[in-house]
Order: sequence, then structure tokens, then C-alpha cells
Amino acid sequence: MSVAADTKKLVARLVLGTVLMFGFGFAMVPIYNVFCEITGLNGKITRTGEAEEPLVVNQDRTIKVRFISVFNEEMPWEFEPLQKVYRVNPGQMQQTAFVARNPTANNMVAQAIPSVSPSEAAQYLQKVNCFCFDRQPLDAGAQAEMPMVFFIDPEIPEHLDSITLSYTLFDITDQQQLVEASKNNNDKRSTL
Amino acid sequence: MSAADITAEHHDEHHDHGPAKGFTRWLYTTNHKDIGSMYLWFSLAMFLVGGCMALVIRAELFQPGLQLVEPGFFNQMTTMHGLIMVFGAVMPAFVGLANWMVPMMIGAPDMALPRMNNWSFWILPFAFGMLLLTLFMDGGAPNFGWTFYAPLSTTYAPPSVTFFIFAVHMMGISSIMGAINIVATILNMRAPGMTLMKMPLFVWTWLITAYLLIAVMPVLAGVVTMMLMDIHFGTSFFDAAGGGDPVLFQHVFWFFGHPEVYIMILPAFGIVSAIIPTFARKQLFGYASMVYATASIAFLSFIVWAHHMFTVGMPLAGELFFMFATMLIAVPTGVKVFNWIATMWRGSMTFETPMLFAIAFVILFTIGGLSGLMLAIAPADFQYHDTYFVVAHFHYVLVPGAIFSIMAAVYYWLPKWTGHQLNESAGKFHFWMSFIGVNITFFPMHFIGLAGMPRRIPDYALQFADFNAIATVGAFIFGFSQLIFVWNVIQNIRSGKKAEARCWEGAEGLEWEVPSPAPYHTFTTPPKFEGAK
Amino acid sequence: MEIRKSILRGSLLGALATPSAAFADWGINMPVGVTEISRSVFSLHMTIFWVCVAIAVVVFGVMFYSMFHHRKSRGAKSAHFHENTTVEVIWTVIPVAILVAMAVPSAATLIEMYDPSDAEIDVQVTGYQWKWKYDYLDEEISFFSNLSTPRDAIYNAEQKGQNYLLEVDNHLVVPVDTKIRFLLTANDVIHSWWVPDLAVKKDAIPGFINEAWTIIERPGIYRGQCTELCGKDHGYMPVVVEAVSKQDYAAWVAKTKAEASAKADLANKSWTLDELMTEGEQVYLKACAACHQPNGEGLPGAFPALKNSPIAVGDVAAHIDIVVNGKPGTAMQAYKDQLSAVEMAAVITYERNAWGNNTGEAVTPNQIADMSWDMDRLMAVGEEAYLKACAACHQPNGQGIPGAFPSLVGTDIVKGDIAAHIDIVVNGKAGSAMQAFKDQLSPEEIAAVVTYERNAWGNNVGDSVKPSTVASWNGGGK
Repeated sequence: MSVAADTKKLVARLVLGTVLMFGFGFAMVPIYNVFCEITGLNGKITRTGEAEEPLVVNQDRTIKVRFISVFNEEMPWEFEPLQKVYRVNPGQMQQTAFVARNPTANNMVAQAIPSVSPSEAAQYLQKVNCFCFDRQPLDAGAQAEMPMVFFIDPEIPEHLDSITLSYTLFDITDQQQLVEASKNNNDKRSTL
Repeated sequence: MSAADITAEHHDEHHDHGPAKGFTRWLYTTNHKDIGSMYLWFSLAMFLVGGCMALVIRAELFQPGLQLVEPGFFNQMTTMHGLIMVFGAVMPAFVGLANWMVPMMIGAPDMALPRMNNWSFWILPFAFGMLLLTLFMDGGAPNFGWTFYAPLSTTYAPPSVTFFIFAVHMMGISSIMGAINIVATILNMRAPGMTLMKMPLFVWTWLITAYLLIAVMPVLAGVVTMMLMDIHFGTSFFDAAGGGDPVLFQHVFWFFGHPEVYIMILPAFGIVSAIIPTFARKQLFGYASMVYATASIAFLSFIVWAHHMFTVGMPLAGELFFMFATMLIAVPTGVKVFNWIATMWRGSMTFETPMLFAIAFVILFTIGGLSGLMLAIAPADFQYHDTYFVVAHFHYVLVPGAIFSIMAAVYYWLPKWTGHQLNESAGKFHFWMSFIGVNITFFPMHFIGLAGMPRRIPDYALQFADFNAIATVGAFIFGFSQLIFVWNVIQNIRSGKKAEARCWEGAEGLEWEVPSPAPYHTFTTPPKFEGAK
Repeated sequence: MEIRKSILRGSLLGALATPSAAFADWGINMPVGVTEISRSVFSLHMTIFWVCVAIAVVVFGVMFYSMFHHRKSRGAKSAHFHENTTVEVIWTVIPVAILVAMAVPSAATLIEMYDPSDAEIDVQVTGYQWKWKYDYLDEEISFFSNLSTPRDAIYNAEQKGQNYLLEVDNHLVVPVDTKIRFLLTANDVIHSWWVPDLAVKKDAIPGFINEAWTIIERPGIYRGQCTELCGKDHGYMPVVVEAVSKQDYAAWVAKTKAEASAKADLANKSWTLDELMTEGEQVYLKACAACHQPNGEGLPGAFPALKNSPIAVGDVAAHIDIVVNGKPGTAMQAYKDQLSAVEMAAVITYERNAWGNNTGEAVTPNQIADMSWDMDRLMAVGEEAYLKACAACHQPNGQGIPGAFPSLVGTDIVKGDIAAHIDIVVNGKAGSAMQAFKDQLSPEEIAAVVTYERNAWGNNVGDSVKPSTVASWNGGGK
């Protein structure tokens, strides 16, 4: 019967549509990340890399850049910017660091998550070199200086004169151990 | 309109296909009327369960201070109330109505996929059984709100969250199967002469709703799957520590959530568009514009989701875009309201129970729509967001909106289902009690919201006390008056004067061509539909 | 210009609603607020409100007219029209026009709110389950702000005060006429910081930073609440902003800093014997030498000698006790209200090492502070701190919530190793809801709360913790 055949075809298409929309739900994750990167939505910054040519420093403007550190949950580390506020000219390369200390009796691993406010400034704050790109292990009682180099894109719009960059420190010791444990297992398996 | 080849004689040839006896009739049935009835009973049960939870909430809020429940349990109540009313009461009720009425309205013998129909219903009791049982687990039921924002619903959730996720998956599968079935039925099973632009508006709105369901229920399934992976498999979709983003959760959720609110209101538009012409004894005004308005509302529903998130700190351009897009929805919605009023204009109206509910729908839904317009203004929304003003707004569109339309539909088609005329005095009593109760409950919430009471709190500052007490009184009036409805429906099934095939004077459409009660099998031979007179 | 005009029109319409000012007192309308932005928001709100009322009057008017006149019982016969392109176009275009008229002032206000320019004061606002933390970024001032409504008021055992559920222990104090920027983030789940009078509501999201700003025009106390469901006690984390004049703000900053540094000195400074001796000599000469004589030999028959006396070279606890609490029935006064802990520590150290006493013992200010913490005081303060900081999860009866928060009655943590108990309260427990309280409670409160937990609800372990142990906690030698 043709109705039955039609129905079969239609249902197949609708099921395909369902599967595609399920996939779309997941595809929203990378789409969102790309979107964030382009627009600086939510102050996410992933922009990095060397400036390709020497930048023209705009001496006429100064931008206030404030660094703040935030601890997630019961993260016990001490973690402070070397200097809290910088006044920089757009295009000027500035070096700074965060000082971290692990006061506990355990070796720990931390991940610092950066966030910029106002979010539209995120795309103009360029980090050439930053500790936030890596996970940071610190042994019990150890202290480390975590360097970063940044500059403000000279194309930053007039109305942005003050930027805040926060680092939220997460304790990822447990996750890290899990990852390493599974890696070790895999290594063992491959050597066997 | 007229339909040749009505069922009576054909029906006789098929009486070997009559209903089986006992419980297995319901367990194995593939009959659209049986399944429709089961959906409706299920939804009524869930409506009462969810309603009891609402009464627990209102009772605790009757006075400031904690009297009856602890804050933790209060949060479980608000969460479960929302989930049960949205997924257990409103959506299954509309699917039940579609099961009963869509085949009869388009002259089809049954749904296109009867066995899948059985399955999509029988998933639901298990899904909700599992969800309700979480109330007895250690740590209690889900307590993170029906919107389950991460990380409250992931890292900080009670252990029952896993069962909640599976329940949502099951509901989603049920809804998607139901939606596929409805699309297939509408597109492939129409009687000769029933062109798309001649279909009753209820069928049209359901067709569009079904497409919305197919588009967004998988996204909901996706977002809960991501939660499941974050909780149990160490991914970081929504966890900032691993490079994820809690705000992403809200974007994905509301990409589902906003079309979802239209899923709960579009079929209501269809019902009201069937009832008002009947009792105004006048053809629906602007049929074509009604169809286009419904389609544009459905389209707009995909590009306004972030108006639920004006305070998360979106960039200015995003705020502006979502504000303007949201305001735009008022246009097609306005067209619908104007069309209903134009239908009533210079009609010859009578006010039986279904008409009363339909008119109350138009008035109270419009109030909800207007407060929605206020909420669309982003700077003002910063003050309204997550307060009782929002609670008032969405209850105005869902209770006297969706729920009243379902009541109207039940009263309207009940004689067709049971073969008995309606008990009008009981129906009107139910209507007036509900109408008064709803307004006493939800109208004061506008005031306490504006005055600064946040939503989802078990206790409040003293200046909100008077209106909360009033709202609680209203909630109990509304809640208990639903028992009149239950009694009325049961009485109508058991006894009552014999209803004619066209039991409402002005009713038009194929469903009124078959006898009342509708035989177990209708339109086994397609009728010829010749369109409206 | 156009935008300005529309805003003006909005304010005009808002002004039409003068009764609304009266409404505000009854708490049925949005507050006008105390900032320029909050006033624009209010006038937007009133404008859109009256637009909606006007639409409703017209629409429902037509509808009720029809319901009354076009009813069958009045003999109405139904007409046959069912479409009319002209009216349909009209009632599509008119709403569009109204919406555009609304969109313009709304966009203008929104653009004003999104002003990222620099502020004079930056305050970091961090949401915790279930309290707020405020850091004044340029002032080194930082504190938590907890609900201060007593538990008995919530459970209806005592009268509810005027600011029931809208009062906190530490207000966010800010100056008027100053641009203040709030940098919002969260420690655990998403919270939302709202003060209606400032028209500021912004989500505080873990791992991310959001900003909002305000310029308050009138001194006063402005109250708000968390508006994003953040778990069990979401309803119990109010926001209280206290706007004061610029001078009062400067004074408040000075005072708060002085208090903080005094506390820090006491708790953190490690005193050497020499420092204590130098300080102690001064104090001795000021407070003790009149009786005990500068050479420590006393006046025989009247005031006992300290040189080589059993008090000064004997048990240090007895020595501290007599200085702190005096000796009843003698001329020896109690110095606890006359001298600071540092001064008492210094003078006792001096007495134990001067005039050839040479015990070599240094008494720290913390030891003095501990003196005042006997079991009764620890239990009393501990109960108070427990109800404030712990009872939300572990419940007032200590039994927790099965499946969510562990019981403290008879369990290992409270009956077992005291060091582990102190450590979990000080540093929290990774991967659980147990927070580190070292920045939220004072060492005294932590000592008291641990003591309370070990001895309440029939636990009766019998041991107690002194504040100095907590102040110098370094993980308990783990």
C-alpha cells in the first residue's frame, strides 16, 4: 500500500531528524566555544600567540588592567597576583606573574581558569605566554611563581578603559590522579 | 460540511475488532481512542499529584517562617511540581487529545503507527514512577529546580539525579515517538478532500507542535546526557575546572526550553479555535492568518531562548538581539487574540462550560502574554527576573492558558467520548471556582514579585506576608475545585442524557459526523470531505 | 535625541502613575530606587505597564461588548464574514509600531547600563552556599556576610523582627555619589546578586567573572536577596548594602582596617623573647612597678616580691591566671580589661625573665587569649557558631541529612582524632560539600565549634580546643 510506504519514508526522515537534532545538541558545545571566541561571550579567552609583527604602542591611552584571584570550593592554596593593577598602553608588552603556594601536606594539581570582564574586552587582551595554558602541580609546601606575558590589542575600542582578568583556581588533583592512573594502566597493558 | 460513507454500517463489519476485556485491553491496545483515554487519565493523575505538591508549597508559604517542611524538601517540591506539571500533566494531556481527535478530525481510521502509539504511552508510567520514587531515596528527589542549572544539578546534585536523567530520557523518547506518529498521521492519513489548508486548526497547531517536539526533545536528551557524562564519566561540559562552562548549560537547556513552552500552548490555540466558532455559531475569523501566526510563533521560538538568561552577563549585542526578537513574538500572538475576538464579534453566542473555559483562556492568556511583553524589556527584566513576577507570568499562561484549554477540550468533546450530555451546572460550578481560584492565587504574585520576592524560596520577608496568604487561599480553592471536575467526568461516563452525534448546535467538523459515543472504530472507509459550508 | 525624548515620555507616563509611589509603600510595585539607572528602569516599567493596560482595556472592551451584545439569548444572529485583509493588516502593523516605540527607550537604558568605564571602587562579590563574601580590591578589606536572623525567629519560636530574613552580620558599606563596580563570581554553584533599589541583578558564576556598577545617590540601607536557586538555603542569603557619606566611608575603611590588623598581629605575629621583654618592661613600669617595685622586690608586708617568687618562676598557667584574673581578697587586680593580650603576654614574659628569674619562657598573646576560653564559653560560642555556619547542612540536632550531609552524632570525625576534626573544619574536605572555614570563622569560633561538636548531643568526648591551636594550625603535623 502506498500510504504504508509513504509513512515508512516519512518516519525514516523524522527519525533521521531526531538523530540530527540530538547531534545538534552536542554540536552546540563547539559552536558555543567558537562563538565565545569570536565575540568574547562570557569573558572566555583562549586567544593566544605571538604578535606577528612588532606592535605600534599607543602612548596616548592607558588601560587599567586588574588581576584578581578566586578560589573554587575549598582550594587551600595561596594564590596572588604579583601586582594587582597595571596601567598599560595598548600594544605594550607587559610581563607579570602570579605567586602560588601549596600550604598543605599533600602534593596537589591545580588548574587556573581565566575570565575577562567586560566580556567584550576579552578579544583585545592577548596573552602571549600564560600559566593558565597548563595544569600546575605543586608539591606539599612548595611555592612557585607563574609567569604570564600579555598585551592589549591597539584596536581596543575607545570606551574600554578598564579590564579585569580573574583567575579561578580549581583543585583538580583527583581528576589528574584518575587520568594518570588510567594512563599508567594503558602503559602497563601496552608493555605487557 | 458533510461526509458520505459514515461509519455505522462499516463499523458492523468490524465488530470482531472490538475492545478486548480486562486489563490486557489497555496493555495491548493499539486503538487511538483507548490510548487517548489512557493518556488523559494519566495526565489527570499527574495533574493531581503535581497539584498536591503545589499545595504543599503554598501551605508552607501561607505565613512567613518555617512551619510544615524544611527548605531541602521545599526545593524537592518545587522541582517535582514543575517537572510533573510540564512533562506529566500538560504534555500527555495534549497528546491524549491528539490521539482521540486528530484521526477523527481528518477522517482517518486510526493513527499511522498504532503499535508505536501503545509503546509511547506505556513508557510514561515507568518514567514518572521512577521520578516519583526518588522522593524516597537517600538525599531525596531532585531539588535543583525544573530548569536544573549546572553545577547545582551536576556536582552538587543528590544521588537521585541519575534517575531523574533516565526519567527525562524516557519521557523524551515517548514524546518523540508520539510526535512522529502525529506527523505521519496528519501528513499521510487525511481523508480525500482534506487538504492542508482545510484541516481544523487543532490539527494544524498539533502538526507544528509535533515538529517542534522532534526538533527540541532530542536537544533536551542531549543536555541531560551531557550532565550524565559530567557526573559519572569525568567529562567537563558544564564544569569550568575542565574548560567547560555552566552558562553553556543554560544556552542548550533554553534552546530546548523556549520551544517547549510553545509546545505547551500551541495545541491550546487549536482547541480554543475549535470551541469559540462553535459557540459563537460563526466561522473562525482569519483561518489562514491563524496558520501563519502559529508557524511564525514556532519559528520565533527558536531565536529567543536567551531572554531567560538576561542576567548571566551576555554582551550588549546579544541582549539587544534577544530583546527585540522576543518582543516580536507579541505580533503573531496578538493576531491570534484579535482573530478570536473577531470570531466572537457579531456571532450568536451561548456560554456553555467549554465556551466559558475558552473565553477565560483568551482573557487570562492575554494577561500572561502582556506580562510576557513586560519581561521582554531587558532592563526591566533585570528587576523582574527570578522573582514572583515571573512565577505569576508563566502560571498565567500555563494554568488558565494550557490547563484551561485542556479543561475546555475535555468538556467540549466529552459527550463525543462517553455518549452522554454534559452536566452543565456541575461544569459551570467547576469553571467559576477554578476561575476565581486561579486569579486569587496568581494575581497577587505580580505584586509580591515587583515588590522584590525571589522565586523558589521557602520563607520570605514580612512585607510579602499578606499577598502570600491570599495566594495560598486561592491555591486551595483552585486545587479542591478540581475534585468537582473529577466527579463530573466520572458521572458523565456512568450516566447522563443521551448525546446526539452533533451535540453542540454550532459544531463543525468530521468528528461530529460520527455517532456519540464514537464507535470503537471510525472512518475505516475514508469519508469524502467537502470542506466547510 | 529621539532616544532622550522617548525616555522623557517614559518618565512622563511614569509620573502619571504617581499613586504608584503610594503603592510602593504597600509593597506592590517595583521600587523607584536610588540611582539614575533604577529610575530609568522604573519609568520603563511603568511605561510598558500602562501600554499593556491600554491594550488590555481596548481588547477586553471589544470582547466584553461583543459578549454582551452578540449573544444568542438577546436574539443575535451570526454574521458570515470570516476574513478581512484590511483589518488583519492593521492589527499586525499597530502592534509593530507600539513595539518599536518601546524598543527605543529600552535599548537606550540597556546601553547606559552596559558602561564598562573605570570605577572609583571595585568590590569583588563572591557567592557561597549560602552567604556572600565581599573583597574591597583596593583596600585589603575582605569579609563574609551571613544571615543574622536568629533561627528561633525562622522556626516561629520568637518574634520576627522588622528586617526578618533581610539582615546580615556585616553590611557591604559603600560611599554615595561614587561609581562602584561589582565584580561577581561564585565559589560553588551559580548565585545571583540583587539589590532592587540599585536595579542591579547579575549572576555570580563559578569560574567566570561578571560586572555591574552603580552610583548611589542617597545614604541608606538597601536590602536584596540571592535570586538564583543555589541549593537548600537559597532563601537565606540576603544582600545588605549600606550607603554612607564619603567621609563616613573613609572612617569606616580606617576602622575596619585597624581592627583587621590588630587581629592579625595577635594571631599571626611571632613574638621573640627579646621583643616581649622590651615591651614587657614598659608595661611593667606602667602597671606593676607601683606595687611590686621596679626591681621586682615588692614592699615586704604589703606587696610580695616577684624576684625568685613561686609565682614568677613556677607554673606558667598559674602566673597567667593571676595576672588575667587577679587574686580575690588581695590588692592584686584582674588585668584582663586593663591590658591587651599582647601587653599581658609581654609583662608576664618580662616577670619570668627579669631580675635573674631567667626561666627562658616566652608567653605568647595567644596563650593569654586562650585563658578566657573555658569550657562553658567554648560551648556557648560554639553553639552560636554552629547554628550560623554548620546547622544548615548538619542540622541543629547534628544528625545531618542522610545521603546528603553526614551526621555528627557519635560518628568517627567527632569522637576520633581531634587533629583530624580540627583539620576538616579549618581546611574543608576536597570533593565534598564541606567547605574550608578558615576564612569564614575566626580561630575562636572554630575552636568553639569543634569543642561544641565533640561535646554536644551526647557525644561528650570531654576534650576542648583552644583558639591558639586553631590560629597556628598547619595541618596537624600531617
